[in-house]
Amino acid sequence: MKLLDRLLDWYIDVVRSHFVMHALPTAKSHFKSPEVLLQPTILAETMKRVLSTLCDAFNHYCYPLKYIFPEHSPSRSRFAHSLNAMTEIALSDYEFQIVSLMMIDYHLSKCGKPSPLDEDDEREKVMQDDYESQRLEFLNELREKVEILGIQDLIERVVAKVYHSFIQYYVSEQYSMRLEREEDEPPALMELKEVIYGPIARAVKVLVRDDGTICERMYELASECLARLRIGEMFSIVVGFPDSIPGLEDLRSCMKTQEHRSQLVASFQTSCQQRLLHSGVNTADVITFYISTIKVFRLLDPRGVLLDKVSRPIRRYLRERDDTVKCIVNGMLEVDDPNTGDLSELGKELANVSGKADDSNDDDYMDLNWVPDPVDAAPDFRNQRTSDFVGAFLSLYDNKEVFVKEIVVVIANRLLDLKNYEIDREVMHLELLKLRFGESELHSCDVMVKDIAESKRVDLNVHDRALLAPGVIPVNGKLHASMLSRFFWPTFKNDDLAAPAEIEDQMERYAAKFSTLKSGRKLTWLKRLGSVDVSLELEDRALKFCVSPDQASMIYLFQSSGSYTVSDLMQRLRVDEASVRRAALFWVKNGVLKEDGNSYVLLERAEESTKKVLMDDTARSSVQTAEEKATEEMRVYWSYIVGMLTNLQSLPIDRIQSFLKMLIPKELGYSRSTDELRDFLAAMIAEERLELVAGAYRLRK
Amino acid sequence: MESQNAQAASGYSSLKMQDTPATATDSHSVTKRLQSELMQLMMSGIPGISAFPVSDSNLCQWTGTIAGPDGTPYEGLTYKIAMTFPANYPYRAPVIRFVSPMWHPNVDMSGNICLDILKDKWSAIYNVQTILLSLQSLLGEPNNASPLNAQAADQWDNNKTEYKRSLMAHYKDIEELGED
Repeated sequence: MKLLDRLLDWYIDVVRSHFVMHALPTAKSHFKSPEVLLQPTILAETMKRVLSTLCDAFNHYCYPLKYIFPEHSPSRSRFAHSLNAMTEIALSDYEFQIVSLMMIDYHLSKCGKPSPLDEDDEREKVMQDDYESQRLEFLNELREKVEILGIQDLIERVVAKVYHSFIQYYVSEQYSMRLEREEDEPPALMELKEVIYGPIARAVKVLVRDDGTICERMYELASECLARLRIGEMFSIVVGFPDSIPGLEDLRSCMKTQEHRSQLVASFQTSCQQRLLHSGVNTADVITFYISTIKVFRLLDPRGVLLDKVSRPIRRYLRERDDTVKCIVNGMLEVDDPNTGDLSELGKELANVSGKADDSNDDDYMDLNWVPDPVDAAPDFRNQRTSDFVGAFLSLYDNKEVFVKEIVVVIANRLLDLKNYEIDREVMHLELLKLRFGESELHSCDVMVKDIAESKRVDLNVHDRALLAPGVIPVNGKLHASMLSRFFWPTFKNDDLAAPAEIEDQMERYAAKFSTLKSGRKLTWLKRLGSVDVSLELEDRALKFCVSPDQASMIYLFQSSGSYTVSDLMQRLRVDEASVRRAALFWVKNGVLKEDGNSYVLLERAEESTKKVLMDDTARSSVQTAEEKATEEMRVYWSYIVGMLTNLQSLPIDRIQSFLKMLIPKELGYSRSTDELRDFLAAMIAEERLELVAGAYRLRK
Repeated sequence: MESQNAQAASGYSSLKMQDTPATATDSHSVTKRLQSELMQLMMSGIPGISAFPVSDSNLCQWTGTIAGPDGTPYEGLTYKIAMTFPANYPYRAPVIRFVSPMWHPNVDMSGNICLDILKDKWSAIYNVQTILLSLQSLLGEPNNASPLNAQAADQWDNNKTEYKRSLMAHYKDIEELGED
């Protein structure tokens, strides 16, 4: 017996050296050709050949033992064991693993969702079925050899790696950015389940001993992959809402863990920072996005904890933008402003009274559906139960006053633009707004609306000839006025304007009539507000416009002369240059006037080049306003500097800087650095308005 | 060309003033008010009058400059004033005195001013700008009925040349005043 053992030891040594010297090199030589890695069919063939070579050697080594040891003796299994170990170690190298990885991967990739085919095309279907059975046959063949070689563990490890990366790849390949679905398509998870429990499982089970959980594990994996995929796509889901609801459903069904939630928040915030919250995006777009965000996250997490977290950066950003309030108010009041974009959704939501301020507190003991806040809620999380996004916007700022101010201005403008004293629409808006802001906040709006209603009555009386005292000339029926209670309206720039004499005359008569109707009251005209219907009869064309009083008065001047210089117009209209230019621009755009150096000429005949002029002038005007703003800012700073140097004689630059920082009101904002200020002061020295004496600046006499 | 719908405001003749208790003001609202008054003054750019806080930490101490109006003995001269705003400004008048030596019927030799709107006629609707304008016009139109400087009042009424001479004898240029 002992002798036999020693014989076996010796034989194992011989076999080992033979294996290393001859069998292994032969097997590995199959890998040598470079096209092996490129062609999947050759790959499979190579794999087969490698394993066959090894199997042959294996059988060959076992052959002599048949005569010495019985079939199931311990010695036989000892020999087989050591041989298997040797094979496994020999094949554990990188080369073999790569080849098998690629081979199995290739076979798995054929298992995926069958390519769509026509129902009638039986031949295709048969061919596909054929492929699958061929594939399974091949894998079965492979398994037999693997069993002989005893390298199941090795192959299982490889397969595990492969199906892991394959499923990842498959999910991202199939579902990446597939956020929309046809009606009859099943949800992504259902589809995945079908594929995994079907062809993939069939192929994997050939090579892996199934303990009954493998399909479930693969399905879990797929669901996890889908969750990660959709979490990364959250930004696109919000942008594509509501078309992207299927994508959202996917996420909702596969988001299970707390980790997913925090991942979602982090990834969404990052994409917001990168793609939304920078100065290249319109405020209106940010607001629209925020509305969609609210809707999407409400669907995903009705408790609103996720929403609360992801919306914080957006809200913080919106607070920084200075036209946020304007955009929101315009949206709520459905103002058509090309600059603010379409936010009419806000208006619709506002009209949706049922969704209004449901800020009943959390301690509603009658609420049987009450659940505590989730664990990941922030400490200052406040539950807002409704998906009321108007409320979300109104809570952007600490107080609603900013909105009220803007609303007053918008409503005032709208009331002023009314032509027939028809206040119904404004009254409706006002009532809706009152539900949000409370009665008292919008008191001045009430007065404004009432003013217009009252004006209608007064205006009727003014024009009523029956009430006319004998001998008084009636007011022209086309002049109508709105009487405003000065204290309740926003302050207007009451700039003077010289209206045409005829109109001035009518206005005086109107005012006189008003004073007789309302004794003790005097009418002060705001001549630059309102609108004028103008008909122009030129040599070759008749035009009709509805314009501002500025524009009307200006074009009226051209009735007597065909050309005026700018300073001439300024004098005659009693307005400043900017107003003249602005009013003239309107007429230039419409091809009625032409700019000629520093004067404007009436075009009795339309010019060919009208269009070109129009283009040029719009471009120029927008540039001008940007410049105007900068000059305006500088003018403010300069007047402060003059003020302090007049009174305090001379100051070093630090004091000037700190004065400007402290004293210029927040609304204007002073944000220049000391260096910028130094540059500005240097420019002023160059213009001989300042001088620098012993480190301190002073005004030049 | 017809004008339609020109807008007008009916001016209510009575100006309603809110009756706010003077005690309920805090220093913040004073600062805010003074800041906006400064803004208004700076932006209006009225020639000949100017004022500015002495330091950026305390907005209640201002120094001002008034140029003598043309056509008066003060033409071409500039005077410096100091303004101190009380904590309940604008419900109380600021305390104002001339820092530059002043020869004027309603200003005494230490610079104290006798002007009704700074005393009993004070109202919250006045502001720095209106005070400065009032002071400027006071230079040209003294109220000789209640003089603080009787000699000046007498000279104003009887001997303008003498008045101008005394005025120039007292006058000190702003540059010579130095920091105080």
